[in-house]
Amino acid sequence: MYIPTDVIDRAAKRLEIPTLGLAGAPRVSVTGRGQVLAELHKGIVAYTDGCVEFQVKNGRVRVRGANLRLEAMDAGALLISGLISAVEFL
Amino acid sequence: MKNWFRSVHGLVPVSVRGANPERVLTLCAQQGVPCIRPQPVEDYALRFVIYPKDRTAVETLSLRCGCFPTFGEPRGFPRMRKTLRTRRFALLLLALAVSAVLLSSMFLWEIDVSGNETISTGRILRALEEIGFSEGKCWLGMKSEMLQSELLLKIPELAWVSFQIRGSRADVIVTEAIPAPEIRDPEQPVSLISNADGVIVRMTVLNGQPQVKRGDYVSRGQTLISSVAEDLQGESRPLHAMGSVRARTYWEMTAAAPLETRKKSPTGDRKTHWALQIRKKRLNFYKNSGISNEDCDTIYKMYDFAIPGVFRLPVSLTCETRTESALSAGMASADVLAQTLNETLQRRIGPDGEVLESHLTQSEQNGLLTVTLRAECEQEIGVEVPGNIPEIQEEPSTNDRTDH
Repeated sequence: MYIPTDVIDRAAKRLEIPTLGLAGAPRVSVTGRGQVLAELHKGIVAYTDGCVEFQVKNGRVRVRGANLRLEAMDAGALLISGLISAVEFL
Repeated sequence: MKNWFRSVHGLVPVSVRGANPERVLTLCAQQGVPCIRPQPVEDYALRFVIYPKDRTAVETLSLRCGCFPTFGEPRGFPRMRKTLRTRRFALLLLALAVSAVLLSSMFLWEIDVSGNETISTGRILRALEEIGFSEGKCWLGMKSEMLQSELLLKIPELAWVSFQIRGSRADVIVTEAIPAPEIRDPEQPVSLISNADGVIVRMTVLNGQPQVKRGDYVSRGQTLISSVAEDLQGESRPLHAMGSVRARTYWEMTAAAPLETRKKSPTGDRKTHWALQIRKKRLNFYKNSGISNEDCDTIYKMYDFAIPGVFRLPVSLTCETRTESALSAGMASADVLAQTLNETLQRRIGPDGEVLESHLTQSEQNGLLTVTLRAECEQEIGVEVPGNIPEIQEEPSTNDRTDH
């Protein structure tokens, strides 16, 4: 049975339980200015020295900076290192 | 560590070019194909490194995305193994060299003795050879406690010895025993005798009966402090005379040398010969090695096949450099004779002696150069001599009369 995502979010808020894991939303962790760990991504869209863009469930995430490198990548998570200047949700 | 692990498996560099090369990374991640160190090269190109086993999968995935992969030369251990497979002789040589080093490190090729001051290194090495610790012996079965006890029995002047073996080098560290001091018998009569002629300038009597005083002229062998003393009852008793007597002494010494001498001077001709030394056997790489040339000065340089402090092979390369020289006439030097005289004088007056004034003269006669040193010194002249009891002479009686 299909349950819309916004219904799940409202139910989770009412029950005061974390919504992120249930809805399958991406998780982006920024450590200082040098590392970004993105989980539950759907693939890389663009990769240059100054910009790394990857697809997530409801859009895209763009990481801007300098000397950006993909340190590791697998089906569920990717690790970006470099001089991070911005993380944008598109 | 990760890089070492990857090198063992081998790595293949890949360059992917196309409209959307990032999709190749995404597909590889979804298929579980690791792409190591991906980095953008140009606008439509990416470069990364994969394992050789994933080559086919990456090629398929790249073509699926509409990209064209270019694979570079494989790197790491598999490539090295492939290269070495065709060089079997080099591998064999390497294995032989490693075996030689490992085998040679089980034998002693260098023994270094340290810590000895009065006992000669040669004597210690001879004693070590007698107990079975010498060059060329396998040290694996030797026990340091046994060696220590055997060497201390051989050389009683040693107090302690330690053996440190590192590879093919052995360090033998010794400590010499402190000799027991001479026990003086306080009852044994000992007198202080002069060992040189001179005028006394300072006298300190610690024990005994002084026979001279400051300002007296004494001659060699004269008693300075007697071992006989009279007690309050008038009886003489022997004792150990002790004291210090410093006197001003006068020395005259002469040294002579022929006026004309011959000295060796190099002519400039030089020859170099090489030889290989394997333990005590020598292999010369030149002819006529048995002919000795007396007019040549020979300098030997040895190059050991060794890493200092790690191991040493019993093989060394010897470079023999012979410099030809010729005899030429020369003149005797008065300075050399004067230096010899000064050194002799210093030895005679002892370490606490002092040269107050000295004067050198030289003369040439009958083909000889004669140098004379006259010196005024101050030195310690008292020497302890045991058992020197002077005879007690009886005084003639005044009542005796002989009538003729």
